[in-house]
Amino acid sequence: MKITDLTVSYSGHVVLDRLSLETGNGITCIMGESGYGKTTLLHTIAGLVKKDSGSIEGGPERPAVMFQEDRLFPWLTALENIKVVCNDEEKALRLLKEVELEGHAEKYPSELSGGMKRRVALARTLSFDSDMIILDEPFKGLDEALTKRMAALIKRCEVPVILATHAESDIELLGAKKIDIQRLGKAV
Amino acid sequence: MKDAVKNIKMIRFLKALFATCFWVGVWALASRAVGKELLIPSPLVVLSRIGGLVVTKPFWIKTGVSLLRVLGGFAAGLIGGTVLSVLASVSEIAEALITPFIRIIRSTPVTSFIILVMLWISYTFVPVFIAGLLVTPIMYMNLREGIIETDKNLLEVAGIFRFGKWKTVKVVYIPSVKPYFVSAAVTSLGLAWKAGIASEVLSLPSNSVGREIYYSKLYLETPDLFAWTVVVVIFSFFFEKLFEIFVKNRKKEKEAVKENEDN
Repeated sequence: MKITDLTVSYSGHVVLDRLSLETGNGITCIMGESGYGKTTLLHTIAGLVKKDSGSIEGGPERPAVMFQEDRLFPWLTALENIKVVCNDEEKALRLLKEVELEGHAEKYPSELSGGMKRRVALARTLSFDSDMIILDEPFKGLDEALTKRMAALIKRCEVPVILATHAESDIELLGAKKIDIQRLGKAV
Repeated sequence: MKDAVKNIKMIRFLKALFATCFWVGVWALASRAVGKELLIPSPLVVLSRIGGLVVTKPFWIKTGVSLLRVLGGFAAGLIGGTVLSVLASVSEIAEALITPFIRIIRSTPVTSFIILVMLWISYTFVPVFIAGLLVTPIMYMNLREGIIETDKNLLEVAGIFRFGKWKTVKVVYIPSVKPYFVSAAVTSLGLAWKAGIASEVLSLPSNSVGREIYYSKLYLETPDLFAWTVVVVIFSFFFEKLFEIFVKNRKKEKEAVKENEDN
């Protein structure tokens, strides 16, 4: 995917200013401190935010997005939150097992810890039949050991993955291409 | 913990019992002071009249038919308010047309509507129409709020994962709007009952509680008037209790959602 001169603004405030970058077919980590527009960039790639100008070549047609917030349906159980996306109970159960929550399938989000909810959100995203996976701070709230195991799961993805993080260690864990958003264009 | 809850419930029950005894006592004293059953019958006379009524078949027929009328209007109001709120949510033109109509209904006195409707339709259906007319704006306003308050983040999730229209309605909108729907429905049930009986008093359809109240007043059968009024109050009380139970459950639901957000 090639992004050229991408400018995005919210009600007159420029968030991304003529940003250009190129991602690979594997895992790409968008690095940068808070407020540098990592989330805006991911949302623009996913088509959730309109760009003012610039181009995105080879962008996804059917992206799977893991948002910065968990955004789980509070009235659905952990299993149902995944099943509602992939429409396949077996696949949903398998993914729940892979994020080490098989014993919590029938629990509602309000009954799960922050880290557990994060893993359900990850499983939901991975369950979707997509052409690109977009993950915004997927390891937020996870301890080191869990982060390693979840990174291994993400590495097994067969489609390009774009991930926003501000932890340098995530890049090594994922063997990802690093893009530092602070050094590109005039990101604000 | 269980004992503490039991104690609180017992204290509440005793308080309610004391308040009831106190006001029945005031009523008995007022009745004795006035000394005329025609003006204020004693609680015992009214109680015995209720006892006399509930063992008769006509009492249950009249109460049942009144209840059916009100429930019919209530159901129509539920459907009407729901349909209008959905229309207003999907079309700006529909919203522009519906909102002033709802405001007019809300601000017009019910008695004006009752008298007007009596000119249009059979008296039997006046309570049905009035109950429906009262329920529709409550349902409309609450459901509109519920639809507007639906979490935009969850709608974005539905969009990203290609839910489609019907799946979005089923998975996101219906569960989001459900508490608003139930709350509006329970609130309007009690109001529909009272407005329905009021319209029966004016339109006098056969087999109705309202007609009995009217004739009790006309023939100065004050104990009967009190007895029928007590029946109406008992039903209103029942609907209010239903509402309280719902509010308690809703509070629990809200706490669970808040806990979820805090985590």
